[in-house]
Amino acid sequence: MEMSHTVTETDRWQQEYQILFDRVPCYITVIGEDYRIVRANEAFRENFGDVLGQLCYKVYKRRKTKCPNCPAEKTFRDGKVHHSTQQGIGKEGQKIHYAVSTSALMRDSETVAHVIEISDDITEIKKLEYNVIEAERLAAVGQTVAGLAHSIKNILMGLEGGKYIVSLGLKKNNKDMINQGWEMLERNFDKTTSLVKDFLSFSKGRLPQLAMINPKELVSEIVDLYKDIAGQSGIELTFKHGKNIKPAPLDRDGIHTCLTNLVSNAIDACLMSEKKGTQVEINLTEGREKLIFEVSDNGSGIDYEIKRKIFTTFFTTKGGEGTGLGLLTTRKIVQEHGGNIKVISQKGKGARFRMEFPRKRLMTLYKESKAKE
Amino acid sequence: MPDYKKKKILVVDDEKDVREFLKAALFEAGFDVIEAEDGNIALEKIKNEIPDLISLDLVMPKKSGARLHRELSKNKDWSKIPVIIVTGHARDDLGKADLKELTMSGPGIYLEKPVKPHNYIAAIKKLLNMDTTQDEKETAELVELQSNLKNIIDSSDSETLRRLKELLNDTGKSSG
Repeated sequence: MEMSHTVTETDRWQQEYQILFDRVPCYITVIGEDYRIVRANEAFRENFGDVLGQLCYKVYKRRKTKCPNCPAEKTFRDGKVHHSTQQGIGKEGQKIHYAVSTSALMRDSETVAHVIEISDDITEIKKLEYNVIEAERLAAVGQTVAGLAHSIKNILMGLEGGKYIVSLGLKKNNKDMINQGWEMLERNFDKTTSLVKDFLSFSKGRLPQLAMINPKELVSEIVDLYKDIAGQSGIELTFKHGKNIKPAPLDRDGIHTCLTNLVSNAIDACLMSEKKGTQVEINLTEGREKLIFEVSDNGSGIDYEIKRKIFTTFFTTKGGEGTGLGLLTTRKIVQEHGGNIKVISQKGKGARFRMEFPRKRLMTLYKESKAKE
Repeated sequence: MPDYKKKKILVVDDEKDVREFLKAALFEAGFDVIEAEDGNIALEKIKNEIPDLISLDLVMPKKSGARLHRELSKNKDWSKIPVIIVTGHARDDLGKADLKELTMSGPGIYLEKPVKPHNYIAAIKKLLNMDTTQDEKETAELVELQSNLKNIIDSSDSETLRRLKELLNDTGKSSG
């Protein structure tokens, strides 16, 4: 009597565990050391078919060899829990994204004979993520096209003006007018060239070409480049740096472009200001695990209205002189390095642009780019 | 030469080429021209002498067209000066908000760059209630109509836009 009661009880427990195992809303499999599936729950069988005895990587991904970065392999090795996200193929050929965790099934021995794999289907979440990225991408394309149209409209206005003045000059037989109109036409043709050049360099979506360089040397090059131009307009260009500036993995050309943009902007701001004794200063320092470049000036400053717009495509306050891509390109390069750029400015009091590069992120990027080589 | 005193136009634009262009067209039509390369300089010139009309760009360094316009509207004498806005930013985010504010207050019309000289002159003559040729009159009416339509379209919600589209489609069908 007693005996039969226990058996019934055990059966009941077994049944309950079986139901739990089957109905849990995630995929569960148990695999052996040979990566063959020993058990699989209902949710798994529904999506991947009846798979007992088959190789897990064949079932999950229709692969012929083990997956790279396999968490089960790690668990077999160290007995610990491991996680990863993977993409598999369902029984009807549909893509399935899943987040998988593995843990060891050990009884008495110290070696792991079986691993339990629990996977969560994240296909829907991945789809949503993709939609968001796609929407952002389209919005960016729209903005870029609108900005490009605006730049072209401005150039067209100049060409229209040149054409009109030349034709007036011809009608009146006025050589000065013809010359004036012709120069206007030339200037605006040149603008087309520089717009296309800037546009192409901006659209280049590339990984930074990182190499260990000495930031101090790079800044010195920029100072040499701009010292005379600044001096001719009565602007003092100085370079200050901290004591222990260490070499850093940077894209030489990219950072050169950033500094050139910031320094030439600072010089323009000094030229726009009516103050005397204007200065541009480049500061190179080591912050907390960060390499910091600062370009500051005591020129015209940026008012709030404009500050909102300076990182917008094609925004320029330089009339016909700028294409409005300088700061945007600068920000893009800084972000490609895993850094960020900030501006501190008050109208009439000058501006300070600060580029910060966390060293840890630079090193990660550097290692990644080395691994690809 | 016309016997009336020449009307004086203040051309405000940060781009020299644009100022030169508009100045040439205005001279040709018999106007006097003063120039300013930003809102601050424009304000100084207005303080010095009130122009008959202001030709205004929107996005400029130092003081933008919208800010200048705001300051003008606060002054009793200045708020009466008719304004023609000549901008490339009419329909993008940089200029749109400014333009909306501008067109809601005070007299004015806006032209989108690039402008044609005869449209520009015709619109200015209309704003100044000057004698115009039949051709200029028609051009000015067309420019004004376009400007008004663009304002309506720019400031309308999606429902109004949808109705507008239906209306235009129906008109097209019945006349075709």
